[in-house]
Amino acid sequence: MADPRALRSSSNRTRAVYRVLSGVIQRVYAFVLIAVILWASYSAIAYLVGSLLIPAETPSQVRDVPRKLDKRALFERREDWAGLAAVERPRAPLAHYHQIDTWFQSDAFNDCTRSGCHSPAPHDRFKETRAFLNMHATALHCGVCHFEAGPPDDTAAMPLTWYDLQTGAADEPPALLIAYAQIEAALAQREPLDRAARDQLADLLETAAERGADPGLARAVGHFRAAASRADDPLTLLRTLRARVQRAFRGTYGTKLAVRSTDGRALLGHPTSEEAVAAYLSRVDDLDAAEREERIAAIHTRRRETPLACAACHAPDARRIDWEALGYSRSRISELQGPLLFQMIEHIRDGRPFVFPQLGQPAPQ
Amino acid sequence: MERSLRSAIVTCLLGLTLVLPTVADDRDDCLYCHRFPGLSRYDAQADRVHLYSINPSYYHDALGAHARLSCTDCHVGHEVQVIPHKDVTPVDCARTCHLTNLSGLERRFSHENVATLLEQSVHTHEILRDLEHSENPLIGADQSTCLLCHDEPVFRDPFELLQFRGGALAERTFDRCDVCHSAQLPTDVQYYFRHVAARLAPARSTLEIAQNCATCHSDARSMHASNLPNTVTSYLRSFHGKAALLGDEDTADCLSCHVRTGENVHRMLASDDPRSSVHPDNVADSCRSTECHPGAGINLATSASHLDLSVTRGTLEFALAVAFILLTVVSFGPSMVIVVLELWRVMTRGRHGDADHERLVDRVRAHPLGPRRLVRFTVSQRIEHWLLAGLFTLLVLTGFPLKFADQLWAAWTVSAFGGIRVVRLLHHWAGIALTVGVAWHLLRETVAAVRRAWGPGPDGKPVGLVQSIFALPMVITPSDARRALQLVKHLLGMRVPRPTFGRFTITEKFEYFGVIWGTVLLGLTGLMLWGEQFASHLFGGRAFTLATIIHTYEAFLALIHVGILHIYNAVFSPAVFPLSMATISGTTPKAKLAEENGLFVEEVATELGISSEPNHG
Repeated sequence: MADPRALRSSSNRTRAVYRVLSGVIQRVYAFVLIAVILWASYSAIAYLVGSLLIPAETPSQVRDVPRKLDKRALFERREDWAGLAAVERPRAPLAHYHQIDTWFQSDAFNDCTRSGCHSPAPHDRFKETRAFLNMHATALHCGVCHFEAGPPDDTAAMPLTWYDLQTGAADEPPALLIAYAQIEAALAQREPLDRAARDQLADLLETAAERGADPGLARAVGHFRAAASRADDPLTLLRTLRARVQRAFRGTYGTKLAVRSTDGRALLGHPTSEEAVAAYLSRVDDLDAAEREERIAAIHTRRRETPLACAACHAPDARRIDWEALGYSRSRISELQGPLLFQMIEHIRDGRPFVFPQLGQPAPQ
Repeated sequence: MERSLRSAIVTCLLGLTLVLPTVADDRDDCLYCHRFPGLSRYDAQADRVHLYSINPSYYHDALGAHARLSCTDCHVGHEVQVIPHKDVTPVDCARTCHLTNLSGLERRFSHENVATLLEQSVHTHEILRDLEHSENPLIGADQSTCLLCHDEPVFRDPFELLQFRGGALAERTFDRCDVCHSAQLPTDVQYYFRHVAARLAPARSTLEIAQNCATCHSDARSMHASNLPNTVTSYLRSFHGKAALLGDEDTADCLSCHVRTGENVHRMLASDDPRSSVHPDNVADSCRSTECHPGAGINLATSASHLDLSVTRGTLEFALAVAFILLTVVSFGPSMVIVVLELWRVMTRGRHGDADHERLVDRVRAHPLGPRRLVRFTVSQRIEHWLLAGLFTLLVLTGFPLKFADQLWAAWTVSAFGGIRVVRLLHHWAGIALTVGVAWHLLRETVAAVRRAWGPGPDGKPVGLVQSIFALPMVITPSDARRALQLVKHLLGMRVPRPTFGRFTITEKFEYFGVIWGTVLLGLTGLMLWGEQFASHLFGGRAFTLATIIHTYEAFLALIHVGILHIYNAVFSPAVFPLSMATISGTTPKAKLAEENGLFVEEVATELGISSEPNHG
């Protein structure tokens, strides 16, 4: 049988502990409340006095609207620009007249740009080519032109793959290219598409629109879906759709081309560790030219001695890229390796002015 | 046959819809290269990105008035037809371009008149070209000064502007156009519809216009160089500017006031120009235009539309703001200090409560009539309290977003309510309801006091008006003031016992007085601001500015009183935590009743014949 005195003593101890704990909690609670009340009161009075004595700041909705297309604009995504979400159709930053609908596809897996070494528009040396070269960054990883890949001469194609910009993983050819190839095939056979093929085509184009092709394409697909089943001349409809799809070729596929490794992955950087790159960047200003070259060479282990020239891919007989294997249709390949583009490249390479034929007028001397 | 023909026409039209060609086409084929988004370069020396990409949809889908132009209508043909392009001369927006209308006729078009108007305005080419700016140079020497205000013009969505709902209706609108214009391409029809409809509203939203003007009129270097006041910021602190920040498209923007009705916006004049819409001789008519405040008195124009109190020192407005801040400190400060001292006492000495009164509360509650007699708030008072709480909350939620219009939460709140129009409507009617409610309450209490004044007192004689008013339970009496002083002394650690109060504590009475005072002030000034067209015939323009100051500062005082002190007293005070049920079920927590309403408990005990003497047995 338990000793009643011991039980009473234990009960007293419990009560004492409870009293102490309760007291401590009360004190802490009071302390927290004092802090909150003093902070809130101070903030309120400070706001009142400040609003009276300190000149008002321009609200961020107005102050932070980008005034210039500067470095900040280059490195940040447009959606991140402050203030833009607040207005219906944001004006382009000053000094830029044309509407900006989209820019470089955000590429979080390109080691060259995400390392902080190179900007998304890195080419700046030659006036004649810099914008054209930067244009390719929309659809190509830097490695396509700058990595050592494939045979040293132009006799065979480089190993290339598409990679998903959301995951960095190797991907199938873009939906837009596949859809275009299907349209071309149907038109070549002069065979109207059956319902299943039409639906598949529309689905592909919708995917393309979702992944970055221009919004007008989605609208066109809607019209195509509505019209295709009752069109008396489906091939005409298909031709008009082809013309619309051609306009969507802007390199914004949601995927980009990169050099393919032997195990099928997209090579999105050099094997150099991030720490080595960071160490180089932290010391770059202290290095002399020779040291810099040495470090740069050590980091860029996959670098080609001479980057691929335009003609390596765009000449009519160029074999560097197996366009067909990458999903391009015959007519699209003809455009990319056609005489117009090649002549333009040749003229620019030789320093001769090239007159765009559609303008029809010779350049004044 | 007829069916096939109809089908062929339908197919053809739908096909054309897919392509959207001709009028909006790229005649120079520049999009062959310029459609690519990455066509650009970065000039590190000037920290400037040169973006040469064009949005092809602008031309293919005819998104704006310039979609019908070819590139060489603006750019010099022989400079851009050669690849790589030569150095280009600045685009001259005043040059003549050639537009082809739907019947194929060519029309000459030019913005030359705009250039002429600008030369007559305060924004001459020379002034714009020589602008100094913190981010100099804003535009390159090879670019047009028009870029300071303009980019590629885009039609605003007419269906949004005309408040049509849903895409189906939009499509049907075009179907109606097709009845007569089926010979034209769908793009033409849409282009003309959008072009005309877009003109029914300003090309840019109110906020965008402020953003545009802020480029110079809120830029430190521009303002310093040209000796300009920070007009965009002061506009954004005004009623109009705050509404603009919250997405109001109907409120006055910079152009509404600074350009006369019927005048071209490019001919904006300096305020000291007698022809200017904001010249003292004309500003009243500008405010009273049919679009803004028709029927308002001439005085309205003298209210401050660019109010920044921090730069108006020495004025009556500044003095009033100072007075209200002092009032806030004087009225809020002591109550806050009492609360903090009470908590300090709990923190340093622990909470002991009033054991004698707590026992008395127990004894009274044990009496069959006790619990009902200890109810401090009657049912009607509790209903009144919660009506007041609901209206107050609604007024805070609909009023403070306007005070803090530049904060993200303000925009979020306004959008959650369904937009600034709904918010304004709710605020006005909640204000009316609160004012009427308080007026009714005062009338009822006054009538009761007067009746009591004429009725017989305990000695059979009339009570008298003064005594009757002081007998009202919420009136602060000299005894309350003495007890409040004693409470402060006690909390400061002086050797005086903690005083206790009657049915209502000094804090509750003070809050009650604040509600009456605040509602009267906020109601009067709110009505004045709401009915500005009528009120402007009665008051000078400055009265509106003063009313705005009173309204905003009094509202802030009310908010911090309720938000900090009342919420503490009703929820977080150790005597009532987690919630006082006094205004819900009527039962005041025992600890609070004993500590703060001891006199009331004693009074009830006496009435019920219960001894108030401490009973330790």
